[in-house]
Amino acid sequence: MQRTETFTDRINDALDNEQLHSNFRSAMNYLMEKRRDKFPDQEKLDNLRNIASSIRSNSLSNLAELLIKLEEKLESNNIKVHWAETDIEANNIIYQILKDANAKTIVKGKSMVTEEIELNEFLEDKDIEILETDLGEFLIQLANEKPSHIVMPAIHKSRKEISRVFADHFPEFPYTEDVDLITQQARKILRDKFRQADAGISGVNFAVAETGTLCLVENEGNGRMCTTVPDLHIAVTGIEKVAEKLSDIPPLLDILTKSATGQEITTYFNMISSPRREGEKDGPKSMHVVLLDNGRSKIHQNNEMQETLKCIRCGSCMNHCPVYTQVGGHAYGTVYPGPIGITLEPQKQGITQLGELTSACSLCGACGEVCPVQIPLPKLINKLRSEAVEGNNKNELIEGAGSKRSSLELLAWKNWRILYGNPFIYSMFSKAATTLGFISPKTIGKWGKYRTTPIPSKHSLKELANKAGFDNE
Amino acid sequence: MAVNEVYFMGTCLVDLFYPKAGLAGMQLLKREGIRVIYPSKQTCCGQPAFNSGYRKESLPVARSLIKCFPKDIPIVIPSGSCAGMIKHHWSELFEGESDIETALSVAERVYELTEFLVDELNVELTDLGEPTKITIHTSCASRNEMKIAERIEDLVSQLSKVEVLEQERKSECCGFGGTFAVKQADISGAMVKDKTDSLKATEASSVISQDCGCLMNIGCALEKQNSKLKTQHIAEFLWDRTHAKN
Amino acid sequence: MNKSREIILERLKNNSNEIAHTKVEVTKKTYEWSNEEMISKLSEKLQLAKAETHILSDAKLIDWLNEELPKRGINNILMGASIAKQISKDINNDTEVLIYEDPIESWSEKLFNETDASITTTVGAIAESGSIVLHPTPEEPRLMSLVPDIHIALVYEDTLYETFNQIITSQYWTKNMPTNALLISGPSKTADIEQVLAYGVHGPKELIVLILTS
Repeated sequence: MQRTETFTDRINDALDNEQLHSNFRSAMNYLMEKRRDKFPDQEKLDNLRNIASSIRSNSLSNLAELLIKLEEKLESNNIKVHWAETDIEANNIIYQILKDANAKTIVKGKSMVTEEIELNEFLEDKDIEILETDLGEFLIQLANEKPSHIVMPAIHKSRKEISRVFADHFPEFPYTEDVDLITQQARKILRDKFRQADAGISGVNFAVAETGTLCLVENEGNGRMCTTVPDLHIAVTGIEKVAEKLSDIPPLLDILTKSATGQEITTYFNMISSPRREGEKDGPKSMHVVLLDNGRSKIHQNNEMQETLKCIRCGSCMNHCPVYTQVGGHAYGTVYPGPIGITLEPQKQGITQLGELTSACSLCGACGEVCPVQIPLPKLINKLRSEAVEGNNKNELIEGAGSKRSSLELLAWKNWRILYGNPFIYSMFSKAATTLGFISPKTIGKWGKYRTTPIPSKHSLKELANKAGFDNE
Repeated sequence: MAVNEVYFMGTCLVDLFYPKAGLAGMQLLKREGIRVIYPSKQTCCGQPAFNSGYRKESLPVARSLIKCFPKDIPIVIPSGSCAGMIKHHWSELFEGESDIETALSVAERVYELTEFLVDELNVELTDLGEPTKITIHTSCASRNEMKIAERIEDLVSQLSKVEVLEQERKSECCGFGGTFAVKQADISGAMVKDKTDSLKATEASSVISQDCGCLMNIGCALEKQNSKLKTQHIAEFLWDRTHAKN
Repeated sequence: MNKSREIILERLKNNSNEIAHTKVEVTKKTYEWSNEEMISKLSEKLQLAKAETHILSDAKLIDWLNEELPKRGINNILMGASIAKQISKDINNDTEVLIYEDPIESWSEKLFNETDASITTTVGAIAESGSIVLHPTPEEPRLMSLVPDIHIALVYEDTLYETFNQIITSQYWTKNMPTNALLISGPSKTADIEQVLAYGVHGPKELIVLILTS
């Protein structure tokens, strides 16, 4: 999507928005508390994370083999498999399937991967009606916005804002801020859409290679509607979502739902292994799966960053991120926001375009502590920073490596290195700073907007230690 | 473990801005019968450049620090952040370098100050100070990297006249993040505002922490807000309250 | 398209250096719960999720239906042929029995707009998570547990399992996955609006689980 504003503009807009801050504050507190309640025992939690991490690492270590096996099993289950290297290819594949089936109206379950390829815009351009059916996605589709969180897409909106959007689009329903009433109205509106849609499109939470099964989590029932009612079901998934065995699923499901929304389990766990078989009376008559690469195989080749692909899209990292809490999801300007976003997106779209995202992080480490599959997010973010300024621009695995090197900043760090790398020079600098009472003529950057300038003490610790009689070797 | 001498690494921030906290740390150790060595050539662990992506500039600085700690004895550091850098990130910084083994042997010997006082020395404290109410801010590094955040509470709980008031959202980052405070100054500003709001709301007299980076961030913000809330490093706080003043 | 397949697999295969990871063996959890404990935990979890649970002997099922259906304003109830055979002669005259006999295309309007409730069997229930498990069949198709506002599910006390993993292994799922396996843990819900919980979004508004003892 073309964005004219800069990252800084979006951040400033977000920071100036009191309502947004308040919405995100309460939402993140809620989600963090719910997750905390589900994991009272740290040792048990660490064990669950070890297991989940191991399962995901195993999948990534054998990814090619597992994808081949998945394809074989799906095809033998009468589910057609398509491979898309790019987002455009995926969109074209999906469009062709719909065209061949003469499908004009689509109902869609929540799927971040379809946001990634901008499927809705692509199909709407071709005069295909595509309706989001997850309540949060439905509401923001009405508001012509993008999701701001990967699990709770409308989390940035207050109840009042949602009521307004709803009332504006459906004048036949009286304005209400009653959540139950809005929900019932949405149910009424969407029911007939499910019933009459030509096709359903969904994402995939886990794809089991052993049995050729697509697994989907949800609470509302719209996902099951989309994948069961229409004659045609197309599932889109990133290639990294494959799990080797059915026995991998219970521990992944368990830690996913607890991490994401603090639920024991979601209302529905839907495991699809085939379209409608002979004798069955419902279910799609034909099913397709689109396996999307879109930069993932390149990340896979980068051993240092491969763990990025372990992600099971729980959203825990952003729930705990103090920066995300301040600026919300839209400020990032990317499909995936928060810690996973600033790790994944510069790798997918290149550092030239998105390298600056990694600055939106204080390296507090909260994300790494909660990631259910133990992705070392702070380490990966820091690595991307280093790639951005010191990377080799011939690096084929990371586009734009080295492109963010600024000669001014490099000079500053070179000076710092001379100062701090040389004890003799440092001792002179230290003497000067303590004697004169300042480090630099003015505060660096906007430090002074929020804080006073710290003043060096009259005596350095080295002097005090010496005076107090401490040995220096 | 039977320890009779340690190195003390002040950190670059403490050396120039919080020397009294550093001295207090050394005195706390000395009081336990430890010979504390302050290598005079120490400068910095290399973290500022490392976190900005300039690893090539960070390495020589880290290397010069290695030379300060030749003996195989513990290195005690009054900062979760700097201790964390050496203990947990020097492995990344020195990856592929010929002296990585030496660097790691230094990293292995690193302790954060409160960690050392509690875990290694089992220090016992008697409170000689006036009754006071404090609130505690633990740094992200002491919590998430070093995992020794509770040591500060262990120490403070021994002080009979100190009441600890808990701040809301106590494990949330204060917004310092080193160069983050400069590179994303407005986000950092918003974070320190939320942090100071929650600290002020406790109505404590001072904020005590293991990390001077956080204290500088919070302290300078409080000062800008004209708040009376004081900040102090745990070492200085403990030394002030437990040593007999003649 | 096949070209993409080859390109993608080529990249993935070329990665000879794996990320070092220790393979953690999943210890299969067992709680050693008695049947009574499983029933109790199952009920507790379902109720927390706002499902209704009742324990009754299977002989009393028809009595329960005859009492409850009219009380709840349920005028017609959809079921599979086997259950219909079991209960149709003893069921109330005012309750219309609908049998899901025809493919959905021929009667979707009636299913969506004029069917009050459905009653299905299950292949079991999981006590740890408070979930009932369905394997839809030609006789009890998928939409039965999704479309009508009220879903009544029959769980037999000898098909209770402690964990998800246990039902997978005990029932040999890896050998023969149904076209659609479902874990259902409550009535449909959402928290998308200001994190306020609302029930009955697109799936059933009510889930009633009848745990049948022999």
